[in-house]
Amino acid sequence: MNSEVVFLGRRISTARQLRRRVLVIAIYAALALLMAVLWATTGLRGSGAYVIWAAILACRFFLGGYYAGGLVKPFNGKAPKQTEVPSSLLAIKLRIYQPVPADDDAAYRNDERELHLRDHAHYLAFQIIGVAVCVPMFIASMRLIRPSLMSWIPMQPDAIYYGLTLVALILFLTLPQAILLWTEPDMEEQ
Amino acid sequence: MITTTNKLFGFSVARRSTRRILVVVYWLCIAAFTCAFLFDQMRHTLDVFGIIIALQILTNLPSLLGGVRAGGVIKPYRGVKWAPLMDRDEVQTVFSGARPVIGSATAADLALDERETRLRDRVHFVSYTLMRWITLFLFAGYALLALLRPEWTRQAGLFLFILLALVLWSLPQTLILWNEPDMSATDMEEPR
Repeated sequence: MNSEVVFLGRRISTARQLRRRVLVIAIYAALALLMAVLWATTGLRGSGAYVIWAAILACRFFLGGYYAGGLVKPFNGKAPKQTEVPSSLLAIKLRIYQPVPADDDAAYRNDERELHLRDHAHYLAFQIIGVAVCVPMFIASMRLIRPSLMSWIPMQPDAIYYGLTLVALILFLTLPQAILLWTEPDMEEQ
Repeated sequence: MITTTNKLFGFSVARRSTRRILVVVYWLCIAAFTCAFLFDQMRHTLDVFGIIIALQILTNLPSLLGGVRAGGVIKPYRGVKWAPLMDRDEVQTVFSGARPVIGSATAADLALDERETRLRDRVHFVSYTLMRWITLFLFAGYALLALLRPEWTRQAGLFLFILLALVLWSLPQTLILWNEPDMSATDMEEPR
């Protein structure tokens, strides 16, 4: 796991566990806020893809794991694609370019301990999602058995199912990285 | 990771070839259930009885495999921590016959060792990677259904989540059953 993240040209140290936990909370709060805003404005119709894109960007800039960039090393252990072409002027002006990663394997390849942590984080995430999927199942069952009990929810059933599936997808994209960031102890600053 | 105390559909799971056949049969059962459930739900709205049947299948099919709970062919992922289940061979219940002396697993038999814990975590990593794509396809399918047949989306919600839960609660166990090699004679020793 990297001990600092580069965002808008600034290096932010995340060596301390507290900072990483704040980052995780901030990311999930931002995603929840985005979903709430889209739900209020469009009813999530046609705009659910924006939430997925936001989660992918969160992975690219902060979380890493399934995407190159971010704090957690790539789960697949492959080096990020290098290009000879320098960052575009627009990216440099906006300070959204990614720094060039170190040339050694340690920058992207997981060692034995990290592999074990990765697998265990996936085990925990799998269990959490396996339990969490019971909530929408219960709501969907009650909608069919006793529609009057669920009439207080000011949304159409299909919009609820769509939103809950979206939440499951977001969790699938981000949860193992969030668990790793949350549980790793304080690191030495690079 | 695999216990021979319990059998899947009555068959011993010591040999990998048998396990692979049973895994195929298991997924065929899920496919048949899915088709029947979807067909029934689309023709006429699922009633309370149908939902109870579906939830029963959802509870009992993965418990055949174990892992998520005790009693299947895979050892429980988190061991048996509930006090009444520990050392249960010493407990005689009032309204049932005598417990067998041989062939009943205790909590100690079902605890995972270091290798099994590693295998459990590794298999969950693979399953998670697969489930990401499966969920994405389910999400895309539901969105497509909303475009083509909006009147079906209200009914398809429950189906969507039951299918997701079934796959979530079955995939790691079936991967373990599929990949583990044949068990040696020492692995198949009866628990005390």
